[in-house]
Amino acid sequence: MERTFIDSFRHDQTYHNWFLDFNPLSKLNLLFALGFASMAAASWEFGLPLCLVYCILAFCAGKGMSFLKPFGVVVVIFGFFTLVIRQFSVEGTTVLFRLFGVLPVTREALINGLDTASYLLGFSGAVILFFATTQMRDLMYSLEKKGMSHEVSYIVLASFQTITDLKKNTAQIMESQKARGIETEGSVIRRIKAFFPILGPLVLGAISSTEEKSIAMDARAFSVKCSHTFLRELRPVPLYEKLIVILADVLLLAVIGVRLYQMFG
Amino acid sequence: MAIELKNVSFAYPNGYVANENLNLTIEKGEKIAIVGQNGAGKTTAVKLMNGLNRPSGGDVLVDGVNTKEKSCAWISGKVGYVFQNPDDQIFNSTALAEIQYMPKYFKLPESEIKKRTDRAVELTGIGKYLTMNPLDIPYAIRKFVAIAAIIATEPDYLILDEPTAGQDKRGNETLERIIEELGREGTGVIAISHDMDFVAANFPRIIAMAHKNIIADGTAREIFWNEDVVRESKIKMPQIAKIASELGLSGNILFRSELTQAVR
Amino acid sequence: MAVVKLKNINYRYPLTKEYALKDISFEFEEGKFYGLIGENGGGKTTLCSLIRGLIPHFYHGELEGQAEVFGTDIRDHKAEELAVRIGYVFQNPFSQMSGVKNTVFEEIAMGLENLGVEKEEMIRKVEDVCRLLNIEELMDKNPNELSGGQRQRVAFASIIVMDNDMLVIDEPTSQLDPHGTENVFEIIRKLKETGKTIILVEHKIDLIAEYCDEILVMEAGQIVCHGETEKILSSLELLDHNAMIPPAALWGHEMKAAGRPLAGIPVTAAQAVEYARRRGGTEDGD
Repeated sequence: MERTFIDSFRHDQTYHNWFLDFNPLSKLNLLFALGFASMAAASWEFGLPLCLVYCILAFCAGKGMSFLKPFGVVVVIFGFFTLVIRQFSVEGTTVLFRLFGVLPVTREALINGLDTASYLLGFSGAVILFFATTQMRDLMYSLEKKGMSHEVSYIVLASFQTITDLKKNTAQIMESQKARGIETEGSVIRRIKAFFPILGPLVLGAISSTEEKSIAMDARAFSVKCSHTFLRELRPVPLYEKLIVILADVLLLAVIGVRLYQMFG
Repeated sequence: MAIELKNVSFAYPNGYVANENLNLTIEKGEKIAIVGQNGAGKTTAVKLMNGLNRPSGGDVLVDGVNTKEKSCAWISGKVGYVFQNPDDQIFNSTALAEIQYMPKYFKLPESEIKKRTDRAVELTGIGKYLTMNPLDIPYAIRKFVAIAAIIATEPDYLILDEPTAGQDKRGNETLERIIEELGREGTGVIAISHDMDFVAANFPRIIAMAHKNIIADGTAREIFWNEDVVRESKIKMPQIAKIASELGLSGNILFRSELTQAVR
Repeated sequence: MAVVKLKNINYRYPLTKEYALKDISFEFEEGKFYGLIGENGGGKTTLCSLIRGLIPHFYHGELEGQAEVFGTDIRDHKAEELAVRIGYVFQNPFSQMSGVKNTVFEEIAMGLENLGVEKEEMIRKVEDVCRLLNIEELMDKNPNELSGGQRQRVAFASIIVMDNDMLVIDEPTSQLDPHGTENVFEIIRKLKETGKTIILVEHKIDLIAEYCDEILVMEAGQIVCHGETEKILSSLELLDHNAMIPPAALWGHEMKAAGRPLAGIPVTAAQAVEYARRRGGTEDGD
């Protein structure tokens, strides 16, 4: 057990899933190419199948739910509202049906709405899929390998822990106030009043722990200038991954080309 | 007049059970220490006493009032709780403002505020730090600012969570004085501590906790000379008791004078 | 050989009037284990910061006098390198975790990554240090979900894995229970065996008495006395300097005052037991 755990660092890290194992930067390139392509295309015939592809990829990666939850929210907000708003802002002649028997729903407005929605969804889906299937530490690792400073990497990664810590500290300080006889329950005004006293210790506590932390990290050779090594390493990017990325980039260029042709040609 | 825990259990919202079936009565004016390993449920137990934690089973009564029926802020007027980490408690920009915050919050008359402040400052010995920003005050002394702020609310019972952690000789002496003085005035003092010598010298009654339960409740002599209790709650015998025990002396010795008598 | 030489040091923090260190002259010898005790606010932590080069590199303020570490003036050291050569473990177990690593093993390896240590060597060193400190069972745990005592052990491992020349340990047990404290002192004992120079700030005087070679007592920014552990901790004079002495020593003095002196003033429980036995009899034994 212990042995296998230690040995795991001797090999390249793997999640045993082809999409999760996709190099973070390749994945970033791939998804952004798709996302931008859908923006360039701005047509539902392109965007909606793309969203389906995102869903399939997410489920393939075993991250179906962590993709669908935020994506679902985006679909409802962007998708639904663009469809509704376009019904009012776009004048159409082909009435498909009448909502509640009175409001006309036109074909032109519907398609216009779908185009706009797929424009937004195609891009936001790419972003959500990327974060749902990529561990931040892997992304930072890849960026560091490309020459990003480890300070930046540390700040990004530590900020996640900081958020957790801040939540915990807030709860702790709230308790402390309550224990002194300050009412923190009840009406909204009372809660807001109770909130101000906690800001002081929260901010000051964060500052003083930052100082401590930077001393602690310096004791861990954080500021020593030399090239770093990595205990956890990702596999080198395989050829097929590179090919997929190139294909996606070509697709993006093609879509842009077609659009330019449609506009000016 | 007492804090009573009757078959009290406590589980956190995530389901983690931190206390099981606690039974305990603390009379007003009593001085009581709670010892035991971290994670044994000590802090959870004292938070039940001032309403920060509501029992998930059983009842907690403060002077006959069930804590379920009152807000934590109300109970805190009777049962003051000083947190382990002063930084979680202090939020004013000077030590003085910190101490006067609650008396002013309750809109007490000026003379009363002054009286309470003077007493809290005198007891905790922080006179020369009053105008300073709490963050510029050394950590161990900051703990006394936190204590003073609660003393100024004049609770009937005062809970101190690990007041001895990180204290030097003077700090320990100040704590001894606070505990003795409050005890004499009839305030109940409940302290969690890992300093066994301090506990043995200052508290007539000790509660030992282990794995979510109270495993022993008695005098220092009864607790520290009970091998099973010491082992199970992972506490340490005070040094003098340890010497007596290794010498095989009888009489459950705890203090130097007793040891001096016993060793001819 | 002296690893740290301090001569006529005066120091005050920025924006303060009072000196935090006053006329400090002392030489720390290689391989010795020093206990630094005395009142809070007496300058113990400031002295540690000076030795580690945090003063004057991190905390500015006004520094007078000569301070040499490893034969080089403290001002000429590269702060970031000195910070590693002299390892540092302190009070707060929470702020010593990086917050960016998912397992204890990676947490401990972080310092080596920053130093550019080759992977195979890194794995070997981390494994060794886990074994030395008996924390193998923590290796695959998340460092941000450990108890205070466990974190403090991981903090030690994360520092000593870098094979520092010297260690400064500032109140490592003040937030721990007796059991956690014992674990930490067990670690300190092992470090002592490796022959490293160690400076330990600690209030738990019974443990100081048991482990340290020499004691320095600080009060109001000055070193008020120093010397071998037994000599210093057996002296009642320490009480006037607001420092504690072990209960065993106090008892030794009481025996003396009662006209039944022991062979010496004991500073540890074991010594007290030995001296008491040497007196020949106890109430029960007579």
